[in-house]
Formats: sequence, structure tokens, C-alpha cells
Amino acid sequence: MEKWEKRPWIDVTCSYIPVEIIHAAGFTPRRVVFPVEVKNKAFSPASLPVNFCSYVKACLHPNDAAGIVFTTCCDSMRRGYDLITTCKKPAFLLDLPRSLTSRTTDYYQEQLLHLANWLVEIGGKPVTRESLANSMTLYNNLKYQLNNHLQESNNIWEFVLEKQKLIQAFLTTSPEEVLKQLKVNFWAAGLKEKGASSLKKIPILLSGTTLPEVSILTNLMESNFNLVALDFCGEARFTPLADNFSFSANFFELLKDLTLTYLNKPPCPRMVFQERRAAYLANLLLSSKAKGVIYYSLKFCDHGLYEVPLWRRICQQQKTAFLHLETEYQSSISGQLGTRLQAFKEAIQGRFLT
Amino acid sequence: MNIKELIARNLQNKGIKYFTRPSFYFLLKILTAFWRPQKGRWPQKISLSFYLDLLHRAYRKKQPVVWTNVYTPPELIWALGGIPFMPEIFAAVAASLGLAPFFLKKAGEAWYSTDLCSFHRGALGMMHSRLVPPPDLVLATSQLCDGAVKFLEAASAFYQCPFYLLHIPYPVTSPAKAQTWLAEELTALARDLKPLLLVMPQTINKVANHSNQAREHLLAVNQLRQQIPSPYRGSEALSDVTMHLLALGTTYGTAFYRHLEDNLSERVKNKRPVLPQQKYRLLWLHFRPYYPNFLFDFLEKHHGAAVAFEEVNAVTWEKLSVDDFWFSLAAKILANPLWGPAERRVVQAVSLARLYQVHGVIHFAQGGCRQSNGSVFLLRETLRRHKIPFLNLEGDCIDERNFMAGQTMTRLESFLELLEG
Amino acid sequence: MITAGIDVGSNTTKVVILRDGEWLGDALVLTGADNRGSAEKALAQATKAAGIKRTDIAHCVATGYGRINIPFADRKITEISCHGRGAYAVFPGTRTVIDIGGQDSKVIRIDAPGRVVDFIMNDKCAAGTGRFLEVMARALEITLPEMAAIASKSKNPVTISNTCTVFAESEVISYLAQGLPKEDIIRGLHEAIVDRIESMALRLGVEQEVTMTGGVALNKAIVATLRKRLKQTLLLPPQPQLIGAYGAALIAANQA
Repeated sequence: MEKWEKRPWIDVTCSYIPVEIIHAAGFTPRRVVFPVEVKNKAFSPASLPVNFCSYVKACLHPNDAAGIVFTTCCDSMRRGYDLITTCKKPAFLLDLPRSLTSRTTDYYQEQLLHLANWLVEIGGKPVTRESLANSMTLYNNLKYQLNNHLQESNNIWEFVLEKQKLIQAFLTTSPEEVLKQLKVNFWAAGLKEKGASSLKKIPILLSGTTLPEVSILTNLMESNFNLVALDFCGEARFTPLADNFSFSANFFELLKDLTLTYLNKPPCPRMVFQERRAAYLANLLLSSKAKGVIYYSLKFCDHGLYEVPLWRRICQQQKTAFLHLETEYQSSISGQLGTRLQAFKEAIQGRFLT
Repeated sequence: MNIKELIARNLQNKGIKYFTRPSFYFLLKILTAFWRPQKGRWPQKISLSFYLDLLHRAYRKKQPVVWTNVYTPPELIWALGGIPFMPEIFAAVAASLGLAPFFLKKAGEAWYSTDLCSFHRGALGMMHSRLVPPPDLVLATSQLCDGAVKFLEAASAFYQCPFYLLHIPYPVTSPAKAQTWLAEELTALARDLKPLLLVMPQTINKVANHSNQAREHLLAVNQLRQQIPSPYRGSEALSDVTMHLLALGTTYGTAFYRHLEDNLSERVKNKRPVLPQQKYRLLWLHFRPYYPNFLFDFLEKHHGAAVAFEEVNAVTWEKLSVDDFWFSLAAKILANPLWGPAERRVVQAVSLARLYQVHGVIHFAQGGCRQSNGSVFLLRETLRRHKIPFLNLEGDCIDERNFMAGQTMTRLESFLELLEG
Repeated sequence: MITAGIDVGSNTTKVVILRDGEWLGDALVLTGADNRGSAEKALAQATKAAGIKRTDIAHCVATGYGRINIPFADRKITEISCHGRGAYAVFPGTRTVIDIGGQDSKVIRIDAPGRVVDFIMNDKCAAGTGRFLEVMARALEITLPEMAAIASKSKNPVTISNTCTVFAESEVISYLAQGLPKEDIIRGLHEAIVDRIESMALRLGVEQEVTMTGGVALNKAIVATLRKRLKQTLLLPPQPQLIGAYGAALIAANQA
């Protein structure tokens, strides 16, 4: 077993958490994505109301992680943190500002220092200039390689599915492991032969609040859609590259660079200002040449629900069809949702003329 | 045709313009001035005058109107020379007039989901009906709930006016640093808003003094409420809470709480409780349904159960400082136990339950309120440990379609039977 | 060319048979638990009514929630496209279709050439659908046709505040216990359904002309209330419950 394979896991719940710091403290960061192994149901679902985010409920399931990091990204997450602290699991709540100013950047940087201290409290190594620089280099290297792989292929449906699997694997595996796999070109295997059939499919943009469950993507594939653009935590809002730092930088300069990189990434629905996100979405839609937008959100996600009027406005302006699908986390599209999806496709194709 | 129907009908036709004219509120203000209320009704007159004055000034547009969310200290905006307008409060006012369904429907038309908090949906409906004074700027404070920030952001886009966001540090780590940081934010905000608003030091002095005076009266009111039986109806207190959410820092706020203190002193002195046959005392968490409903009559008249105190009326902050206004305002914001880990709220609930010698605690679970409903588990567990009975009463403060009369009655009755032991 | 449209709804299965777009025959049977069996039965009745053999049918399209269980259909199309197509064929000026079926209600916007451009469906809850009326009719111990007639007598409808069918039922029972007149309760129920539909319609935007389809369009009280609320003339096809199947048969003709 290699050294990095023995490192304890730290679960992360939000794409604004700089994983580099966790790695620098001697842990392996791991994004909570499905399938989550449910060992003990007695605690989380019963403790939170029925009309509550199912992703947060998923984050509360006991597992083998040494700790979990939340952000103040939404009310449900905050309450999830409250609840998990009652069962003595080490948890940290990172106070994430919604806007990007010099003052909020300084504030977030301070919060990252608290995170580093907490990691030491739960048995991690102190984050030093060297360890942080090493982790940042490792992640940068990995992200560059990933991007190269991802850019090799066209926007073809099978590729999108594989790409999501790859990104989700990246988010849930140690960076060393992903690099090892990339070296043997394991992930890209078979991608090039696939996807020729995508031409007849309907190009759509899929947007949403959190990571799309792979079965949702499969449902869409079966409904004859081609995903030409995605706007998810795991896609355009994917963990960014901290590529401006230099090795001569001191610890605080490194931290500053990391802070700015994360706060500057494409905004998620929770961030203000809405117009910044609206402009980002409008450009994404325009450049994707999608014929429709499917907005997929989790039930009881307020940020997601507030995004629906925004998306409708953008789609109206660009004369693009829009469909909102709402499900619980880890559920597939079936029954009435399936009918909506099929009707959406029929409407875009406009085949049933007189 | 009753008044409610008359207003509702006018909302749907040209009559709407009367509600958006300053002269309409000015006229009502004059009429109110002639009202000589019975003894004990003075606070109601002051509160009515305050709202009419606020609407009159907001429509007259001599001062900039600043839309903000509940729990943003109103002193902040009064001190900056603006008129604070909290649409969530006006959603409750609309509900009390029976008009909420009209506005909720409007919000639905604009694609706002019924899963969102009805305070915000009601406010969005009022905005889309253009039945609220339009803002000159929108100032959101990132405390309490996500819905408030998102709703205010949508309002700023709707009215095409500047949007400011004040990040409120989450009080988990280093509170002292958080206060300093927030004070700096407030100072910077005041500087940024200077060209838009009228920041004058004498206003700050006035606002701080009024706020502190009102706070003293409110402290006295809260102390008088410890008397058994209760001198003040919980249902009224849950409506009057809007005065400390919006009127602190004004002459109205001070006068309101001064009269309220006088009333309650008189009631205690002359042994005139609001519920002579008081059987149970309750602590109320969160707000109440504001549309006409039977809930409090059912508790008070049928079962002799008085809401002795409400968490939203607790004075959790220290006096504001005239010399270091922004620093003390930052302290006020951060002292709110409803912001931050749920444990802060739970600790306050236990201590209020002890202080007001209640028999049980009711949490009114507002349908779309994730931050409050998410803490029910901890509230229930902690109160159980302290042997304080707890009821989580599901309902809705604004949307009466989510109020289940039969079920609510059964739950309340069972809870009261449980208190009887 | 002879084509058939089969609409397997939650309550009833409908079949319409066309020859070159001309109505040859139709049938309506209860769906029951066996979707495929009901479809077979309805198809047999319709072919008999049309005076043709089943093998004469050149193309067949299935729609409705049970469409996936009809193996003999050549294509499966959603009820949204079929109702849009059917309503447009009956009234070519149609731009908005309101379809209230047994388990779903929908508002569909179509453009001048008859394409579906947008739609909205009810959420999982049954309020605002035919099922809601059925449950309530049972609670009130009356038949569905009686409901509309009784509702029109009311002058003072009660407010049904619950949006959930199950809770609304208990609300109705408590109103009955309070001795409120049945006609006021029934009228209140109609208003509650229309509330749901109206909110969906306003959300999507109502463009004239508006055509109502689906079984609930046979309920005169619902139609009258909706007409009043939307301040629009509502066009009613002769057999609104068959419009989905009719649209499916028309699409079958295009697709063949």
C-alpha cells in the first residue's frame, strides 16, 4: 500500500471548499456524491423535516471519514452541520461569503486559516508553505491533465456521461490515484469509438444546483438528448485551477491565491450578484447552441427554486425551450417526469404539424 | 360587500392606483390623528400611525426607500437617512387583511414555487402587483435565511436599482474578530451609500438614542410579562414584534414601547390580566399565522392557555453606542440567537422557558422555513432533556391554504391534554 | 388510410379511428388494472363501431400514462402533444389548451402552425384533477354528474383551504359535520380545482383561443368557473375526453 492510500478521508460538501488545504494537512478530501453507503438510517432522515434537501440528508449518513466540512452555502447545510455535531462527528463549517469584494476575500482567507487549524485539531499535520505549495501543484497538475483529456473529445453524448463519471471519480478519489489512472490512460479508453450517433440527438443545456446523479444523465440519453453544455458543481463550476501562484510566494500569498481562485470560479446559484450569474448563463446558452434548457433541481432547494424564473427569462430572450425537473437526490426520472421529458422533446422537434 | 372584498376587488382593477398615492396615506394619517383610543389602545394607534407615516413618506419619495430583510437592524437605515421597507412585514400585513391569496397567486404566475417561504412569495406577489413603494436601493443582510437574500436580489433586478449585500459573519469562530470585521463592513457600507443616502451624524445620535430608549421600555415590558397571570396577549405580541423589527430608532418606536410599558404596569398593578382563568403558560417560537384564524382564540378562550412569551420579542442586544455606532450595531446583529448554530436558539429557548415559567413550548413550523424547521430536532431533544413539553405545530404564517384547521386543533388539544398530565 | 389513436388514461381508455382524417368510430372503456387488456377491448369496440377490421388499421399511436404498455402501437407519444394536436384540429385558432384528466392536468401553449411551444403539468398531488372530484363525490355520497348540477345552485361557496386531496376530504367532512349546505361545499370544491388550473394557466400565459379538453371539461360548473376566472371564452369540443385519442390518430396519419 502506498503512503497516500493510508491517508484518512475528509468529506466535503461544496465545490467552494479548497481541497488543496485538506490535502496539505495530510488528509484526502472526498466530495459527498452518490451512491452513499447507507449504514444507519435512524439518525438523519428522521431528524430533519420531510420538506428538506435530500442532498444534505445524504451528507449526514455515517461513514469512514475522519471529518466533514460544510459551508454556510444554504440554510439546510447549516442545519446539517448542527445535527452532525450532536453525534460527535468532527465537522467544520466554513463561512462562505456570497459576493466577491476585497473585504469578503480577506474574510474568506481568514476562514481558510480556521479550517487549517481545525484539521490539526482532528489529527492532521500543520499546513505549511511547503505542504500547501505541494498540494496546489499536485492538484494543478491533475486538473491540467484532466482538462487535456476532456478537451480531446467533442461534445458527444457518451462523452458527457463518461466525463461526468470521470469528474465524479476525481471528486471522490485521491488525486494521486487519479493521476496514476490517467497515466495508464484508463479513463479515456473507449471514448473515441463512441458517440458517432449524437448528430440526430437534440442538443440541450443541462443546469442544476448540485452534481447530477449519473442515472439522471442516463435517463436523458435514453430520451434522445445530446448534452452540449452542463452547468453543475461538477462541470462548468468545477473545482478551479490555482495557476497564478509561484513557489517563491509565502504562506499567506499562497492562501490568498487559493481564496481568489475559488471565489472567482463561475458562480453557483447561491452566489450574488444574480446579474453576474445571469450573464454567465446567457453566454453559456448562446455558445452551446442548445435548442433547450433542462433545469434539474433538488426538491426544497431554495437557491434552485429562485433560479427558475431567471432561467425562464434567459430562455425567453434567446427563444429556447425550457423545462424544470425537480426530484429528490438519488432518484431517476420516471412516471410523470418521464412524460414531461418526452413532451419537451416532442415540443422541440415540433413534428406534429397539421 | 365587506372591506376585505372591496380592497380585493380594487386590487384587480384601476382602484389599485389609490393605494400607491402618498395622499391616500396622508389622509389616513390625518384621520388616525383624530382617533382617541380607549385607555390601553394607545400602542395600536401609534403602530398604525407609524405604518401610515412610513407608507406616506415612502411614496412621497423625498427620502430614498431602502428595501431590506427582517432582522436587518432598522437603525442602520434610519441612521443613513433612508426609509427602511421590509416587504416580508407587509406580506404579513396583507395576510392579516385577508389579501395574501391574491399576492401568492401573483408570485405563482411569476414562476415562484409554492415550496418557497410564503413571506417571500407574498412579498414577491406584492412587487409584481406593483403595490409596494418601489425601492431606490436594496440592501440585503445575509442573516437568518437564504430566501431573504434571493428574494431581495430578485427585487433589485425587477426594479433595476442598486443591490448591496452585507455579509454577516456566521458566529462560530472568533466572535470578537467577527464583530470588528462587521463593524468595518458597516462603516464601509455607510461610506459607499453616502452619495445615495443622507448620512448625517446628528441622525445617528438621534437614532441611537431612540433605539436605546425603546430598548429600555421593551426590557421593562418583557419583565412585566414574567407576571402570572399574563398581562399581555401573545397573539398581540406576535403582531407588535414588527415595531421592534422596523420602528426602533424612531420616535414611534420609543412612544410605542413607552405606552406598552404603561399599559402593562397598570394591568399588573390593578390585577387585570388578559386571561384571568389562565391555566397554562406557553413559550412561542417563530412567528404566527397572520391571516384570520382561530388558533389563539382556541388556546386562550377555550383552554385558558396563554402565550406568555415569544422568542422573537427577546431583547438580545446591548445598548447602541452614540460614539461607536457601527461597532455597537455590529454587536446587535451578531447577538441575535436566531442567527448562527441552532444551539444558540435552543439555549435561549430553555432559558426563556425557565424565566417565564412556561408549561410548554410551541414551535410554529412555517412551511418553507428551512432554517427554523431544521433546528426542531435539537429543540425537541434539548427541551425533552429539561423536561419541558414541546409541540412542533406545522402550518404557514401567510398562506392559509397550508393551514389545516382540523389537524391543528387536534394537535393543540392533545398537547394541552399532555400538559394536564 | 385508416389510423387509430389510443389514449390510455388513469380512469378510462379511449380509442378514435380515422380514415384520411375523417372520424370513423370511437370507443371508451374503463382502464382498470390491465392497461393492455383495456386497450384491446376499446380497440375492438372502436373497430366494430367504425365497421372495419383491426388489420385495416395502417398506423396506430398510443398516448396517455399507460402508453408504454401497448405493444401493438407503432409509436408512443405524450398526451401533451396529442391533446395539442387534437384541439388544434378541432379549433385551428387554438393557442392554449387546458386539459384536465383523471390524474394529470396540463396547460399547453401552441403556436400558429399548431406546434406545442410550452406546457406545464400539475405536480404529483391530485388536487386540480378529475381524481380530486371523484374522491370528493364519494365523501359527499353523490355521483359526478350530480356534482356540477348541485354546485350551480350555490350562492355562498365555502373556502376549501387545503391543497392536498386527502386533507381537503377531511375538510369537507368537517364542513358536513358543521351542517353547511352541500351545494356550498361542492361549489367550494370546484373553486379549489379552478384555483389550481388558473394558477398554472396564468403562469404559462393564456393566449386566445382557449380550448378545454379531457373528461373534466364535461363538468359544466368547472367550465363556467374557469371561464369567469380567466375572463376568456372556452372552446369545448363535442367529446372533450376523446381529444387525446383523436390527436394520436391524427399524428398516426402524419407519421405513417
